[in-house]
Amino acid sequence: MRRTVCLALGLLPLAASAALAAPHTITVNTVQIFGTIDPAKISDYTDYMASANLYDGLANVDPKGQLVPELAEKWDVSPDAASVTFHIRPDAKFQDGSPVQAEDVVYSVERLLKINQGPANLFAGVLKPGSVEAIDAKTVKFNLAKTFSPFLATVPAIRIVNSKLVKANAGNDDGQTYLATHVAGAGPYTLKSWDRGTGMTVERDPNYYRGWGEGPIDEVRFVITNDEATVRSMAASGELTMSSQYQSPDTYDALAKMPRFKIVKGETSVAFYLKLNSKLAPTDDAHIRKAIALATDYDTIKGTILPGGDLTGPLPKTFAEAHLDSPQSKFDLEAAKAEIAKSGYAGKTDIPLSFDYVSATKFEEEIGLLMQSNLQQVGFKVTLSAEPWNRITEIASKVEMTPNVTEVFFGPTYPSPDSMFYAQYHSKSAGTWASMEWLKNPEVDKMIDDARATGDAAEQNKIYKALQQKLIDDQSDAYLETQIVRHAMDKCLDGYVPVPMQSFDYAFHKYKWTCS
Amino acid sequence: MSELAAAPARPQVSIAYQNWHRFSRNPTAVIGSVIVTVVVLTAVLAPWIAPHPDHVGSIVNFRARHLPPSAQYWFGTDNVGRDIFTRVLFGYRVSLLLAAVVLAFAVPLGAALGLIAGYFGGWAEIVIMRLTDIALAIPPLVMALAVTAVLTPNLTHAMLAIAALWWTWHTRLIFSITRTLRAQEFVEAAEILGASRFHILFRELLPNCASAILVKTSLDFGFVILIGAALSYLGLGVQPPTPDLGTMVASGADFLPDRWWESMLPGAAILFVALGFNLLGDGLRDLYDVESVR
Repeated sequence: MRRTVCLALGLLPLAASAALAAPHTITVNTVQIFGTIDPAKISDYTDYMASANLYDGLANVDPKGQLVPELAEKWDVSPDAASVTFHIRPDAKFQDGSPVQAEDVVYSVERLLKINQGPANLFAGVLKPGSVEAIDAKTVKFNLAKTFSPFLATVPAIRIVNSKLVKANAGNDDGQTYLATHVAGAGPYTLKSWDRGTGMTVERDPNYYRGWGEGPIDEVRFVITNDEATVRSMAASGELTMSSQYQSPDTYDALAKMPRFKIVKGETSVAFYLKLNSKLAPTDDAHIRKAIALATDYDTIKGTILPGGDLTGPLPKTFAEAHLDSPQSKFDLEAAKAEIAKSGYAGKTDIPLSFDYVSATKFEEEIGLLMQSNLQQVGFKVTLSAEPWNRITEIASKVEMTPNVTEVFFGPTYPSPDSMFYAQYHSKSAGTWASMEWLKNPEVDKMIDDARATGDAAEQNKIYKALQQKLIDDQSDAYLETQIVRHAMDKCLDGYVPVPMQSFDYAFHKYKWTCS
Repeated sequence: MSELAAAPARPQVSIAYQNWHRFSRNPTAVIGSVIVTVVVLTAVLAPWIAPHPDHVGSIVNFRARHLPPSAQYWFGTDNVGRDIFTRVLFGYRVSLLLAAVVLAFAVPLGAALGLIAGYFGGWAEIVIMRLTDIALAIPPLVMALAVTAVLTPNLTHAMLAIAALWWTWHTRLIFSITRTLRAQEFVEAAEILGASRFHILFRELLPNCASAILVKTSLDFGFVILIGAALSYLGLGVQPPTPDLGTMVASGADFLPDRWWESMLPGAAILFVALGFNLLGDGLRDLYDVESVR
């Protein structure tokens, strides 16, 4: 007996050191907290980032926006495009080892529709309770309530939860309490620790059903900080492996000088707007909105303050077929004055304008100060406010609380132009941070709905182009730039490729550690 | 008395002259008063003496951003190309104004409560002094953060919260002085002559506390400016583009250590003014020999 104990004690340190020597742990900073990890509630970039690592969907997206198999190995679309049948991989299993079955897909969708938050708005009117049926243990059929052409593109947003595990912990809120802090998914990473204010750590599941390639990332530590000096000192001390995409140009420059780092770039479908509240004076006047767009110094913003790509309308040009090739907006203060002269505020000075940006984000503050200076020259009195992100999501819920102008990034949550239009401009999305324009325009709604209803791609793109023209004519926003994502990454880390679906490029299963 | 003996040639020296004489022999007091005078003058005269007075308003110049200190920009420029020296001079206005507002509220209130508690004693003393103890137990910075969490987060609300707690120190000080004074003959004499309570409180007792209040207030100026800077550093700043020293330090800290001037020089400006008021307060304390003011 005693000998066995000694033997065990003798072996333990060996085993521990063997386990410690190999792992590749990376540290990534995010600029905001993880709001939720419940797949029925995810909405912003950190939520999706957590979800992309902790959960799997039936399908995933490749860099070109094409659907690729994940939990489902293949799928068939019915000839009338009214139903889609998914065939789940025979070896697909959850993190607890139980197999992924059709009933889990049915439960995940039903739960999503019932809670009706996060990605649920993608399926409003498309999927109804009972729309999804299990044909057999590994086959599941989606019967669409109406033709919805972007449906397949939205499938990756359905993250599949382990129905047995969630039902066992359902409580009286469909497991919302349980899934707020636990993971019941099939994703490649398991949740190791999560402290809301400071960060989250996820750990590689070695038994992940799709397997792992060379040099897998064993542990990812997300550290929440939007303080540039902290990011720089973490990089200098060797703690940071990969920066967020929201650092200031100075930080990228500073990190590029450190021998350990490389800067990776990728032009994304994320657009940066000055969202103009169309229901609040004075931006309820189209001439005032045009004046603001004309008083925007696009070259300084996308050249000096935050280097980015061209954005000439509401839709980024990555959606090549649907994109309307419109001229770049001009920076012309005289023309801006002329627009004010045409508005209901002609002859007035000190027209009050509220302007919000995300606090402690250096470039947003700089853009705010630039806009304030230019707008003041044409006759506005701009009140700048720096608000924390959770405050912005809150003020976006009421039209009278939404500022005249807000600096907001928006990227597609699924790879279809519909994602850009529906979430920002459709009446049904009003009251979210993505649609601080408060358009509520029946014509716009109809165009978005029409595009959804047609299966003909050419017809759809025609509608999208007309819609872009209409939004540009109405000056829904000032279209600043598309985001060129930059990350400072350790030279040993590889795998960042932009994907036109929010945060799916931060699924660390695709990354690898190239040094020994 | 030794001062009188030191100036035998002028037997008619006024009290003011004696005070000045003693004051001018005290190097801390002189340095402190020079600093305070310089700061107050620059704050008042900022629009005329600042090299780039337009940089206080809504102006950006991205071609001149992040410039190091030079003959044109003494303290360098910030991240949108504004002259930091100019903004520091105007930042003093905000700091001094806020300190003046807080103390204009806190000092009279604190002194009045201290006089009442010290002179009347009894229930007045119990109620006022226990309230003071409670208020003293709340850290001003925490109170300011709590108040701004409820109201909109800006510096005005934060300073209101500070003012709501700051009177306590004056109450304690004046209470202890008044309690010793109330047994003295001049108070009794006034009472026997039938002077009103108002007269006794504000004509007899208050003038005898004046030196203590003056010393305490000049020391307070430095502390309140520091707390105001701490609060605006924490993000409870004034409306942009209004310059504010704490906000400038916070905003410049993002560019440390390479662009040290953007946070270090406004920080040095805070140090300068806080030091000035502290030296002045120390000097006044030595002058009036007020032991009770720490």
